[in-house]
Amino acid sequence: MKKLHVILLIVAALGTGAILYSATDDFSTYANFIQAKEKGKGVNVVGYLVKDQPMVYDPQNDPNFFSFVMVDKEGNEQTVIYKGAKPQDFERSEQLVVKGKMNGDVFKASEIQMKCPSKYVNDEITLKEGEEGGMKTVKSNL
Amino acid sequence: MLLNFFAERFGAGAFVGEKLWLGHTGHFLIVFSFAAALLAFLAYFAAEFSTQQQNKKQWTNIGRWSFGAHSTAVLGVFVLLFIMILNHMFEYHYAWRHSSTELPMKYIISSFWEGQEGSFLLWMFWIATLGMVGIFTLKNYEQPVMGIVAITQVFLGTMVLGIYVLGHKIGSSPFILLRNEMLDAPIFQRPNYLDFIKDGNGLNPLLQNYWMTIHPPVLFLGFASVTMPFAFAVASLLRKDWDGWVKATFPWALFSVAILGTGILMGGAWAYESLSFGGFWAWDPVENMSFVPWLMVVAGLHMLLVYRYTKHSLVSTYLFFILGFGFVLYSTFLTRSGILGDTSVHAFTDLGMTGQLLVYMAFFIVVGITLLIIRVAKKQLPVVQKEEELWSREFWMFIGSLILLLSAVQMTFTTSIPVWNKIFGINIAPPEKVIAHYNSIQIWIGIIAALLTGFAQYLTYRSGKLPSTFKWASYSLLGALVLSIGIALAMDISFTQQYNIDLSKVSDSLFIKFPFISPYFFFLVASMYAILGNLGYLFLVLKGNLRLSGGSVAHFGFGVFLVGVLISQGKQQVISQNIQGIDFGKEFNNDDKRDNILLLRDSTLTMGDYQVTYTATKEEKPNTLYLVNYIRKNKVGETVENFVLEPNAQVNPKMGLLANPDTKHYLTKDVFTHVTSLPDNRNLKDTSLVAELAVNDTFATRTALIVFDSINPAPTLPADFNKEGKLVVGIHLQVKSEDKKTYTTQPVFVIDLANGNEISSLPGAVDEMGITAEVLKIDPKSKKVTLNIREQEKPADFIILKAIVFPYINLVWLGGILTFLGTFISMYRRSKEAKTVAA
Repeated sequence: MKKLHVILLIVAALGTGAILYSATDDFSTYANFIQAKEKGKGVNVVGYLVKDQPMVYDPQNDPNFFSFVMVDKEGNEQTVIYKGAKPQDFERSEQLVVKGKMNGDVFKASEIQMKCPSKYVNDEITLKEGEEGGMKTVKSNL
Repeated sequence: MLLNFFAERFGAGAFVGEKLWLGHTGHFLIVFSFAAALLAFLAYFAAEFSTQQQNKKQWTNIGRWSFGAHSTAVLGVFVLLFIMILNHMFEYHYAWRHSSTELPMKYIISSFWEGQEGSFLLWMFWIATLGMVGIFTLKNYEQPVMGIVAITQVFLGTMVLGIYVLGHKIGSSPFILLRNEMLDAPIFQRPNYLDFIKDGNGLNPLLQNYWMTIHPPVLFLGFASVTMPFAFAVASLLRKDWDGWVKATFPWALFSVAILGTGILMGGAWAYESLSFGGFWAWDPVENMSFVPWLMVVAGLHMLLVYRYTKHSLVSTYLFFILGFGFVLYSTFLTRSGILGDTSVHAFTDLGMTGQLLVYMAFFIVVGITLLIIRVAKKQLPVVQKEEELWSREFWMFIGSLILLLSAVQMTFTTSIPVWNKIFGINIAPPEKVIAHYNSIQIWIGIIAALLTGFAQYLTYRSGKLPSTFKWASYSLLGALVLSIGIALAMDISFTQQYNIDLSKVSDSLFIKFPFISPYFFFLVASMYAILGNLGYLFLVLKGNLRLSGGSVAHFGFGVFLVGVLISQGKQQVISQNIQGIDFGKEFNNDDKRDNILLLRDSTLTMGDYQVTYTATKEEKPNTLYLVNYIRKNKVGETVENFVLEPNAQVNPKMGLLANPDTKHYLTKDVFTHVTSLPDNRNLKDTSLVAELAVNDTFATRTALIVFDSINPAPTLPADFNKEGKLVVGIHLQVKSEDKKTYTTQPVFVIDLANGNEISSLPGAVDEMGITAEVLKIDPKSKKVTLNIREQEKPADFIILKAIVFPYINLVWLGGILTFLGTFISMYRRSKEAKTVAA
């Protein structure tokens, strides 16, 4: 081995190490709300919207404040606030992933991902049946 | 018997109206193209390993004809799929799922590659095209290179085969019938089921955009082109011919860099112009994984140059070309196996081909890397005894490639989180602040790469002595430093602000005391250096020689691109902020951004330099355009500029709010406007009031004043009203709105004298105000009428808006275009060289 190559290999190895280390440092984890409270740092929580609890979004007053109650997969209910516009059709979401951390009694989300019941690509045929009048929907899961 | 066979396949079967000929021809051509590719592979490799000239020639001919037949069949499949989609043959699942009758032509074309099957075909089509060019131009490298091209087509072909082998489904064919895909739907028990399927599912509205028509073909040509340098590298390793492939590979590698780069940049333009990302790059897994192969081919290209002029870095050259193709396959695996799940916006739906995709990826990476290891382990590669000099061009080019590799490592490592979760059974999530996560590493990559492009060209190959022209490299650095400070002061760039990069890990206080000790400032200097250094090299050293200018033009473009990235992102200003004039400073927290603003119809707000008014809506099915008027006034209050932006949105029943921004382009900045939310007018409440009024009485509702001004004994009645034996009385009402408009309406009271004095009424409505009045009773003694007044709640009329100014974003596009233009200039030069060698 040439000495220059040895030096280069060491530099490259250190560089890679540093990059990977700093990367894992940024990685987030999935947790429930109890764990989120214990950890106190940013986590991802998967769960569902509690539909019979009030949802607050009053854009005339503040278009950047939205709050709702969410239940994680273990059944812990939690008020979540999000500083941004309320996603359209939020009520219809089937599953939610919120990124953020606990801030006192509320979970402050920096990002909300929603999974909708019918992603656009679902296979659902809408048939127009003229002679029988009215519409009929045939669902089929692939 | 035989007749039955044909009747079933081509004639009128059990179902009416199905055009089965298309599917059968399509299936046949797919299987045929697969077999032909396999034959081409076998023949070309038989030719490669034939020792007798006669055999070699014959096998080569068989290879050529089979590949030609393969390409023709692929073209046939391509055309058939188009015919199917164009003619709305909804008996086929692919046409039904991806298109619909109301789609305009350009989106019908897009439906072709919306699905996995179509995009695999697009990819195969391009490789077939490149292969046909190869047959005519590759000369003595034709056999091994075309053999490898053919075997990649064999693997790609399996993806669209759609046949069952031992109970396993191999590939997914675009010619599957709808009724075979949905066996349990009762509709298919009717022989005339096609009469009921009036329309297809349509193209995803997010993809209904002209970029969807042009971006995928260019990107897939880019992916296809990466096959060529890979094929050359493996061919040369097979032949143990270390030099013969070099000159012939240059044009292909340069083509790949230019086309794949253009495809990626077009994706960025699409994201910026019509998606709601609010930028041209979001470090999305799919974006990253198209960028990584490009980086590898760029690195490979530079190593090939080093090898050509110095005989150093041969192993790296092979490695980078193999990795380039390997990463294309890895990216295919990530986007098409469904493993990315919800972490990416543009992954395909899973077709259950994970295993197949893994085999495809593993085969080529294992073959390529194993071959390389064998050659290295057996010490068959030529070795240069002399070590690279520290101040030689090759040394710094090698460092540059290493830097690109590091960039690729970080992107791949983080993008692969779902893969790590699967392999190691762990449960980690992508970083919370994804953009900061990537930027904080990639900014250093950018700095080093830009510095290297600025000075490495001034060095010479194979010599550690600095040439006399090297002084220009130093002057350029000085110039870049001065210019950067100038730009920073003139544009008031604050380098202590966090932008989108997380600097919290580095000492904060240092940046505040010395604002110029900041990665952003280094980035600006490095980018300016790439610009000046390459300009200097082009005019002072190359004396403006166009033929040799490719590298300088490309690197100059790269510098322009980086400056554009820094300024457009770093100085971007959200002008729709709710709180203005407050400096959030270092406490500025991502969670507390207040980027959205509510704009009531016809009310004006100040945003940045503009007076902004939401004036009207315009229907353009399925979208609603929101007309937002921007006015800029000078100090005296005169209007100096007045324009209307039309961001659109549709509330899609299946996907929620889909919004496309609209942007005003200037030479030096863009004003980007995007609807983020709309009022929910679905649950409007009606109020109902009962009022007893005498003539000239006035009654106030929530939004109107209602005056009962007269009784009309002969009101106008609907044409189909039979007034035989009935007493009719019209109650004439004036309805006055808040904005002083007066409408009239006349509800009618009916007494059916012939029918036991049965009472009924014909309501009167003022649609403009959502008011309906109905007469319940008329008291003949007091002459008072009792009215029921229904008032609909007025739908709220506002938009929630986000507006951003991106300064100098045009430098991003200009820089990108110059980079690829430079690459094409080099391609022209190297193609000529390749020809002189081959001749």
